[in-house]
Amino acid sequence: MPLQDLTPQLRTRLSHLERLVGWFLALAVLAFVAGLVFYLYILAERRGWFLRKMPYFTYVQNAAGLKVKDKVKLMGFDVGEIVEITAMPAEETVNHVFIKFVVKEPFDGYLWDDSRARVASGDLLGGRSIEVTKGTNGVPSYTFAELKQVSLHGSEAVAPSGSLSFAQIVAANGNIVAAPWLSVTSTQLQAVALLGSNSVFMADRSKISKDATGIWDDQAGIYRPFKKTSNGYFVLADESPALAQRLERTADAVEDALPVVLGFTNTIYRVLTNTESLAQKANGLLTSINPLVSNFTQISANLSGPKGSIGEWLLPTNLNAQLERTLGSADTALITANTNLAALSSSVLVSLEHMANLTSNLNAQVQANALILTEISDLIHTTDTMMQGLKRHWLLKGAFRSETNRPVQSVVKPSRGGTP
Amino acid sequence: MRLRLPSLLLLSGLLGCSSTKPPAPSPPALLRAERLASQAAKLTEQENWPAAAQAWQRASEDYALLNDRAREAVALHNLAQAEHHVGQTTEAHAHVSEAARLNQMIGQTNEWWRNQIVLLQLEADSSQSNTADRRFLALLPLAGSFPDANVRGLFLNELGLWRLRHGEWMEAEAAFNEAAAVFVRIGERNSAATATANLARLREKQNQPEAAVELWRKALDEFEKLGDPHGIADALFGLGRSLTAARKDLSLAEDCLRRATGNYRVLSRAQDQQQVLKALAECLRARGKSTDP
Repeated sequence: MPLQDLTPQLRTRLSHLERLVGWFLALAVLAFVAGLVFYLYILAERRGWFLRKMPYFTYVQNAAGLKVKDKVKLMGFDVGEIVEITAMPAEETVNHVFIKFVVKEPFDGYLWDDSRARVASGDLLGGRSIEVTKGTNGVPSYTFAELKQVSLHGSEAVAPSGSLSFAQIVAANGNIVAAPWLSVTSTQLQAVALLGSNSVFMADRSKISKDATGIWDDQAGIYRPFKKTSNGYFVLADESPALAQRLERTADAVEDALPVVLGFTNTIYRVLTNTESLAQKANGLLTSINPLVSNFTQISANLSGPKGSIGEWLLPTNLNAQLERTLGSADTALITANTNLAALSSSVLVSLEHMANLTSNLNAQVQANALILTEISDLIHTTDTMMQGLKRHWLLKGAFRSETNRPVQSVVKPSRGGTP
Repeated sequence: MRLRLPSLLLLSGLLGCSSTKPPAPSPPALLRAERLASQAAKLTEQENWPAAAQAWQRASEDYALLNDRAREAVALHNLAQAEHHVGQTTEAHAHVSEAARLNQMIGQTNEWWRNQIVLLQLEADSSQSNTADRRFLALLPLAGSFPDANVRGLFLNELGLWRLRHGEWMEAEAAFNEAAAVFVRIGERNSAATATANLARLREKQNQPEAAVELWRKALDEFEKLGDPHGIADALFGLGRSLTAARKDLSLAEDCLRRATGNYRVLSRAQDQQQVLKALAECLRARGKSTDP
């Protein structure tokens, strides 16, 4: 029915209703959009989309196990990510792979000129990760204070101020006169002026901007103006090979050590053979001693007897000969034992040295991969957290029907009288 | 463009709707005890009796530490079952008696009856006939009102075996029939097949091998459907024995007995294997064959 056919009262009421519905829909859409924007804002804040990201780059020999968007760590925190991995031109002989990464604030302040980018094994599948180290003794890679060149002479000469700091290193005869970590004093200004400089670069810390104003130039020892188009600050890489390569090296070391171990077992075999020979000789010696004991028995008998005089019985001819043979056998056995013992001790010493080398190598490998277990543990923990979260998500929880543990029940089965 | 708005709505719904909060964690000691009991139950299902006994022992100790007497009694009961299978009958008797005492103390009548049935089984197996007789005589007046149909069926089955041992065949038959009916009604097919096997054994005692053959066939068919290796071996033995006694289809009897021998060997039931070998020798003699292997 067209609206014009209705009574004026009904038409007025319907137009009110339409307006109300319109308002309701507008409010609903507005609330929805506001919620979405708020959610996106929270998400962006949580993921650090609004944070300042400072660029850094490094060179490595091999890009294996690294990929764009991999996390960059600092002191165990995820502080940034890799943004570019490129092979260097073919004529470049020293640096093979260019890697650019960004570090979020406030962690960019931890990277100084003595920071390093450690490229270490990240997982068992050959992955690697970059971990930058905190600067401890040097100059911050970026400055956010206003940079300016100030005069040291005349009416425009700069005066010492707490808000000023040097933005360059000035040295004379190997002694540092001015540096960013030194406070600006009149003595230092005079010292710089005495070196013949008319001006010096300084950073005014009272004027801090949100974006970086200067980037440290390691070679010149000065903060240069920072351009956003640059690759950023160079961090020296400390690269270690991937785990697979390390394992391969370990396997090679073990393979190299195998002949030593086999030699060790051969030596043991020889020692055992010599020992057996020694035992046989000792047995012969004992057999030879047996008449000697008999003779001594006879001597003692003679001594206790009435005819116990020296001469006739003390050194009979056969006793003398037997004694000589016995002593000769004993001497031979001792010489053999001495030789065998010397050979044994030298062989054992060599083998022990090889074993020490082997264990030392293994220990070095374990030390180098000390973070792997932590990483694996973190991976499992994170995966478990993710799975638990998915199980609770309103959309997905239906796919994870919880299997409630049956309460423990007592087991009773009926007896079977089937066997007689 | 047309799909953009629904996609946005779906995306916001997926990301925006709240999920349930993680459940409150259980106390560590309780979790440990439950994990132990769960592990022990799995070991019992796998018939790894020495490992099951150890696990139930630790579970019972943990439940005792938590003062959870009901579950401690269950753990002790199952510990006794595991010990029974490894031949530690004395320890099994002590543990199930302790479980019965705990269940009586906390008023768990149904569990108490299950303990009593296991005690009857232990005493019957350990040839303590006097003790078993006394226990039956003490339990029979209480058997009027069982809290659970399964317990009733189990008791009737044990009662039938007791009557069978005493030569009271009519009463035994009634008990087995009633037990089988109870088990069928509550869907305990394995227990029903066991009652049928016991009835077949009764027919053998009554010197009715033809009737026993039919019952053993029925029991074997049921055990095969349920995939119960022990039941299949027992039924094969019973069927072969009954066929030999009836002097019918001796080739089938020999085949059944040979298969039962192999099955008992695989199941490590040496005593039963000896028995079935004797029955096989009897069968071979009946067929006029040599009894040499």
